[in-house]
Amino acid sequence: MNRRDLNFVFQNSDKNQLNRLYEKISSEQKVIVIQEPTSQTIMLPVKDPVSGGTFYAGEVLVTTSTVEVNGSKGWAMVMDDNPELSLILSMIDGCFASGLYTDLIESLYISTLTKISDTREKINQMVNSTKVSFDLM
Amino acid sequence: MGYVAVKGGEKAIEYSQNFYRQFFYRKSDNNFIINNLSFAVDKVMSEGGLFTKLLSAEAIRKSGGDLLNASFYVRAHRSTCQRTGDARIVKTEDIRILRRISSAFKDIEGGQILGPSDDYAVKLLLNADYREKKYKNFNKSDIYLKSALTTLRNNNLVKKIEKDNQIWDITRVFPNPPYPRSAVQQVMSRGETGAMLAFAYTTMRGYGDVHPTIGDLRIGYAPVYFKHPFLEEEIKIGDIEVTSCECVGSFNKDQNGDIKLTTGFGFCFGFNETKAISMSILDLSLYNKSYTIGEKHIADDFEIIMFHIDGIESYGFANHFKLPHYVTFQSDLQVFDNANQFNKKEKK
Repeated sequence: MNRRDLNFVFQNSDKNQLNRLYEKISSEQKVIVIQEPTSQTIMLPVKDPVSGGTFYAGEVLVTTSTVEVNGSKGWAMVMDDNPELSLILSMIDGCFASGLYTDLIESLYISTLTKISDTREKINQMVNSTKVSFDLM
Repeated sequence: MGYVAVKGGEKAIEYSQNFYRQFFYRKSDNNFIINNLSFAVDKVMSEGGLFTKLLSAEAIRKSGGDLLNASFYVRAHRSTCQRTGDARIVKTEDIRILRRISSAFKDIEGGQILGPSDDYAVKLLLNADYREKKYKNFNKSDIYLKSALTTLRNNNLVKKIEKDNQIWDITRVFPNPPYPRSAVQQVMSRGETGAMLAFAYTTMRGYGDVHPTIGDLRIGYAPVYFKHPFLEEEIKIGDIEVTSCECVGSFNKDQNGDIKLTTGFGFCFGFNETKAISMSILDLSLYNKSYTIGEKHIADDFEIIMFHIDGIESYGFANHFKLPHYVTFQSDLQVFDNANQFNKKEKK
C-alpha cells in the first residue's frame, strides 16, 4: 500500500465502511479543515496523433479538500461533485501521512482493491468475449 | 434603431418557472439516469465541456430530458468552478479498451474487439430474448492497444500536420484566424453531435467527396492524473469514459513530392462514436482541402466549423429570439411603414 494509491482506491470503497472510519478519526483526533471541500475543474489535454501536438478535450469536475490530522496534512481530489467523500479521503490521507490507523486503512484498502479488481476482471472477460475475426467470403 | 429592454413580469415568470418544475421536472434518482441513459449523460458532459456524471444527470432531470438545455446547465456550472490546473496528457494508447475496431484493416494487432455494441442489432422495437452468456472462460486481463494506424505512421506513410507550439484554450480567449489547430480541436471536442454529424455528412453527399475509412475507433477508460500537493508526484484521480477515432482519407502528392495518406482525429468525453467519427471527418476535411474535388465547400471552411457547431451557442442564439423583442420589432414595423409610404409616393 502506497500513499499515492489511496486517493483512487478509496473512491471505490464501501460508503458505510468509509463513514465508520471517518467517525472514528473525527472523534479521536483533532482534525483541522484547511480547505473545505471545493468544486474545481482540471483541464484534460489529449495527444493529437495527426500533428503530434495536444489539445484540450474539456474539463473534469473534481472535489478537493485539505485537512491536518495530528500535525500531518492530508489532501484528496475525488471525481465529480462529492464533498463528503473528498473530506473523508483527505482525512485518511492525513492519517496515513502521520502513521495513524494504518491497520484499519490497510484492511479497507485491500478489500476495496479486491472489489475493484473483481469488477474489472468481469468487464475484461466480457470485452474479450467480443473479439472477432471475420471470415472472408 | 434603438433597443430598449422590457422590465417587470416577475410574478408571471415566477409562476411559469414553478409550473415548468411541476410539469416537466419529475422526481427521479440521478443514479437511474446515469445507469440507464448513459449515452444521454455522456452527450451532455461532452457538449457541456465538463466531465461530471452526477451533475449531467441532474441537468437532464432539470431540463426534462432536453439535452441541449441540459448541456447549457453543465456549461454554466463549469464557469462557476475554480480551475486548478492541467491533468496529465491522455494518449490514445492509454485508453483501457472496452471496444476497438478498425474498418481499414481486417487483421490488426490486438484484434477487432466489438465490445458492447448494437451495430449488428436489427433495429426493431421487439423484446429480444437475450440468452444469458457465460464469460468465465475468457481472458481477464486489461487491454491497452496502440492505434491500428501506428505501423503506417512509423513507416512515414501518413501526412503530418504542423502542431501548435502552445496549446490554446478557447475558454479563455477565442482565437482569430488563422485558427490554431488545438483551438479547432477543442471547439470540435465540445461541439454538438447533431451539428457535427450534419456538417460531416455534407462531405459525403453533395458538398465534398470525402469517403473516409475508420482506421481506429475505440471507446474505453482514460486515466486522469493530477499532482498531489504534499507528495509532489502525480496520483490517479479517476478513470473517465472517452471515445477516440482516427479516420483515413485519400492520398495525394505533397509539395515535396511525397505521397502520403491523410488522416483526421476525433476525441470526446463519454461514449459517443457518432461524434468522434464526425469530428475525425471534419478534421480530415478542414486540413486536406486540396485532397477533395473542388474547394470551399462547407465542412472544409474553418469559419463554418468554428462558429456553427457549438450547441450551447446555437441553442442560445436561436432561443433568445423567443424572449421579448417588442421594441426591436416595433422599430422594424416603423421602418416597414416608412418604406411602404415611400413606395406609394414613388408609384404616384
